[in-house]
Amino acid sequence: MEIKKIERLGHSASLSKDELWDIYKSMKTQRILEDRLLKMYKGGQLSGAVYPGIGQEASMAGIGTGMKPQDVFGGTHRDLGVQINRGVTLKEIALNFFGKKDGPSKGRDGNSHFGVVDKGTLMVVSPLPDSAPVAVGVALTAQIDDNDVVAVANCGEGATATGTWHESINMAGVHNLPIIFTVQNNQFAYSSPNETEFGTPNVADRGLGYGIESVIIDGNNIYEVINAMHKARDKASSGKGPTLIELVTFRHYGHAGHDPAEYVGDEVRDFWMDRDPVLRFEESLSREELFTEEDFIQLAEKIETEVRETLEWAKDQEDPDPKEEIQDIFETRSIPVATNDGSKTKTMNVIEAITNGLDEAMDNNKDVFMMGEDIGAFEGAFKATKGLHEKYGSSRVLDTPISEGAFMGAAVGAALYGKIPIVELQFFDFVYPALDQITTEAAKYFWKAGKPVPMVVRGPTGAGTRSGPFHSISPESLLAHHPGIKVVAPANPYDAKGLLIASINDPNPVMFLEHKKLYRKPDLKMEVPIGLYEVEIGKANIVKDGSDVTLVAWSGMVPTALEAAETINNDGISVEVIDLRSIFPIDEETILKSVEKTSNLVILQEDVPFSSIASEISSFVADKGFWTLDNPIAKVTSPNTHIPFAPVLEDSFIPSVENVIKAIKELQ
Amino acid sequence: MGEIVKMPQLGETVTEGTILRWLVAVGDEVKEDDPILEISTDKVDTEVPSPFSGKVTSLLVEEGETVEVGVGLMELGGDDSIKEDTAKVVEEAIEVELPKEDLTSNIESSKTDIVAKAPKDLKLSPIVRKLAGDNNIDLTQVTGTGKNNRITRKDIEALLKSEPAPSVPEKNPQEEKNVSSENDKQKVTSTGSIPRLRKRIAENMILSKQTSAHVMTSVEVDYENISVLRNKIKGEFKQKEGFSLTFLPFISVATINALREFPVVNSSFDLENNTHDLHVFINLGIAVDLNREGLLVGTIKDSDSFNLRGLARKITEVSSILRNKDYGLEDVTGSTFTISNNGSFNSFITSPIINQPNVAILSTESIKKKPVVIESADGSDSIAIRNTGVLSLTWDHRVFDGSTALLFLNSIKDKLENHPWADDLN
Repeated sequence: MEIKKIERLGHSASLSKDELWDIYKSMKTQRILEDRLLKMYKGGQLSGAVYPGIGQEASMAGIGTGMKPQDVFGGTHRDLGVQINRGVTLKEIALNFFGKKDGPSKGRDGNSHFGVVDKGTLMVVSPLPDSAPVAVGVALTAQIDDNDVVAVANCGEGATATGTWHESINMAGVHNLPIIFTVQNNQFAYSSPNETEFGTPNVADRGLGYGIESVIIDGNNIYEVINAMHKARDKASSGKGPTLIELVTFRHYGHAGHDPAEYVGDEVRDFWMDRDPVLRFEESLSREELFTEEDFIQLAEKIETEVRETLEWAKDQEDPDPKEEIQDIFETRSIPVATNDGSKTKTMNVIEAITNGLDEAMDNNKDVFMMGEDIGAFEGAFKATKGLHEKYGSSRVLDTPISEGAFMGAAVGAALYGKIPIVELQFFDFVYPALDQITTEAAKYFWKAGKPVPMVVRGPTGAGTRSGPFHSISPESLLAHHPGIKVVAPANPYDAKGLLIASINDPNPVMFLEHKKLYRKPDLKMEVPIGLYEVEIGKANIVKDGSDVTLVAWSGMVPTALEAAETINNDGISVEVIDLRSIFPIDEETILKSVEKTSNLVILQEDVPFSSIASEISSFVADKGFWTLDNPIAKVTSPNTHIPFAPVLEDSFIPSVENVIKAIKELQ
Repeated sequence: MGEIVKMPQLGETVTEGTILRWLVAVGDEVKEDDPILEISTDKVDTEVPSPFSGKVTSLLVEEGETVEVGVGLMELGGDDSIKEDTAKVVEEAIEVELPKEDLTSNIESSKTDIVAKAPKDLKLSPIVRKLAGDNNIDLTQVTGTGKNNRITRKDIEALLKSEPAPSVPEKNPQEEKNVSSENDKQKVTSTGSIPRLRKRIAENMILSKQTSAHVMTSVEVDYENISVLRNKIKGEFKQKEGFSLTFLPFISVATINALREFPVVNSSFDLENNTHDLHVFINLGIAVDLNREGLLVGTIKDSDSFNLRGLARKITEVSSILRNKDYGLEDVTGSTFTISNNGSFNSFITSPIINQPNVAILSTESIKKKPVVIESADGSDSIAIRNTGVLSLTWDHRVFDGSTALLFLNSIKDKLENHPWADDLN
């Protein structure tokens, strides 16, 4: 086999002998390690999966080499070469492959699905390229802080077909972010060849559409990769924006250990085997008489031994303790609770209280910033950011393109690197395109990668404003179902500001649900303290005392609950109304204590009934409060259908005061 | 904990049974299949074989007590030391709403605090059960003010306020009845509690009336031909068979043949579960009067496989075993159509209640000589004395309509009047 030779030109010509040897060592380590892992997998010694990147060593080592220590890499499961090059150790890799307690993901994810955030590699997840918007967030943070950090968003060519990738690269282009998009085009997305994945001749052709300079390079030529990365990094670092690099390469094996890759034709394989990146590098180093064949053999033997010993060692390390399985869902809060003597107050409605809370939080902490659609000079669809753009400027009240997935992921990236992002969803109905980022990234980061994600997602929810089926959802059960995120839903101005400050001060992702019907409800106006204060997340509030029936409501249903309770009081039925305030964590204690007193429970919810918060409350009361009940638990909810537009339909959809009174009267 | 022997379900419709007699005592060693007690259910008295081997450690129910299917009756191989307490708790407590199995498990886990004395079939909420149990309240003495007179938490609390130390009074309802009436005109002679069979008949009758849409239709039948035949052979028949040949076997054969023509009359209909089953076999039910102490329906399985003589024998046999209380469960269950022979008590027309889950019941009325206008072949009329009688059919209008009922009845009539019966007896 004749090796296609490579030449050291441009920036790579300036690399020292030691630097070259380190690069070679990282490539060789990847090759020997992945070869060993594949053999162990095939021999039944390794559970899970292996995703060999053998054949792509030059791309991976080159990307790593082109980055500075402070830079951040967001990649995929097939990027062990980059992780090695960035300083992730063989021990860390081995522990993760065996699912060990002390591995980077503590056994919570396996094989190459991990990152070591402290070494600048983001958590690897299976949906691809989910780390791309997170990397965008890192770049955004770098831009705000102007700290010479450059982010790299890397994936294979297959993942560039996703909306996530397009949203990310578009947002990076719009904001001219310090980020490099690398695409290792290894010819196959699992088994699918290029022509079934994109319509342009090259992946890089798409960069033009986003206003981003794009290059196509030989991903099996280490010098070309280093040169392209060097140039792109310089450009990003000097504020000239992102670059898209398509690294054309080839994976020698299948998608994963089980895949024989029979879909690769002999001609294609032969073409690429002549261009084996490790052999080409060796040939070049020998040709330049920097290193000898003997040096290569000695190094290989050394690495082989180290790899074998490390894997043997990892096998015997401590397994995670099933008793600790439920740990690390949330980071524990360490900053003190904001308090306020309440001496200075102002009359506010709900939206004014939210705007006031946002203003004071941003004023108090320069790391707090906001992202969302039309929230800047336009001040938001509901004017929640009124006056804030003018006061804090575009870098802290940031207008985003319409790309919920990208800016939600960007919030995760910013939160990981020291910011406290507050994302506004124009309507909470638009959480759906962002759910992947919320549940895959935000909710799992602390659990899997040990890094807290302090962020707040806020926006209007609920029906009753003739906004139709796509601007009216009550998303609480949808969100609260996922471990790792908190959900709050205030129902008055005081709670709105207090819960908002508590959410911003919480080190975890918090979904802050604002019922749009309450925003400017005149009779909810109240005196709200000026200055920071908090309403504790996880605590319900008894808003009306009573002795006969417990009525639990939250968000837009609290006024309905109170009106029903007042009305039925005339019939001699005393209703205790609980405003839940926090959906998750839920305040079981307050509800159970009230039911113990009244023996009757009615749950009022605007959301549809199936698999909902009302079901959840019913479940724990039936479980823990069974012997205190004097009637079956009653639920007053909307019907199990979509939210209709026609006023008559919408009015009948939303639970009414009459519905609640009827449910209460049916008790007894 | 030992094995618990539970009240068996002897037949699909049986829901409870009465313990007639224990055949074992605490301390006895019992082998699998040994008879352990006699129980009396809806329709049958029987011995219960033990499902396990072991030492009897406690008897959980008293003789004479009626319990639901599935309730624990006795414990085998349990811990002797707790048996006294266990028995005592069961004696004092009548569990409410909860299936009896739960009662057993509650006792075993010592959760006796949630059982309270209460009448059966009361809907009691968890808090009421708990409060009543905690305070030893006799719920039969509490007036419910909730919906449908349900006892609510407030009712219990009101009672606790008014009666600081409530107790369970022991009362003999029979005595009370005899002494409590001060008005002579309202004086009654109590027969004691209603006998089980009477109670069950009462329940079944009400259930049937609530289930089916009863309609009665009748036709008059000329039995003269059968009467002539019967008179001719009855002496010989009695001598040969040992019992008299009545009209009933003729009517039964005619009915069975008519049922073949109208399978919908030989069916079961379940509106609630949306099912309608046409029965492949004709299992004829014959209502048998137990000397005015009750009524049972004896079943002749595969009755369409018998000829006239065979069916006559079968009817006699079934009546006899029912009257002598010598029957098994299979003798009194599974009928698909029923005949009630009211003619033997000299009826004119009867409107019987359908035997569920049948969809019709035939009443045979008394057969008497009557003047009848006979139309001869040439069209001339004459009056003749003929043996005639009415056949009444109560049928379920949910299942079919009057046309079917009358076509069915007239098919029986036609067979009775025109079939060459003499051939059947040869």
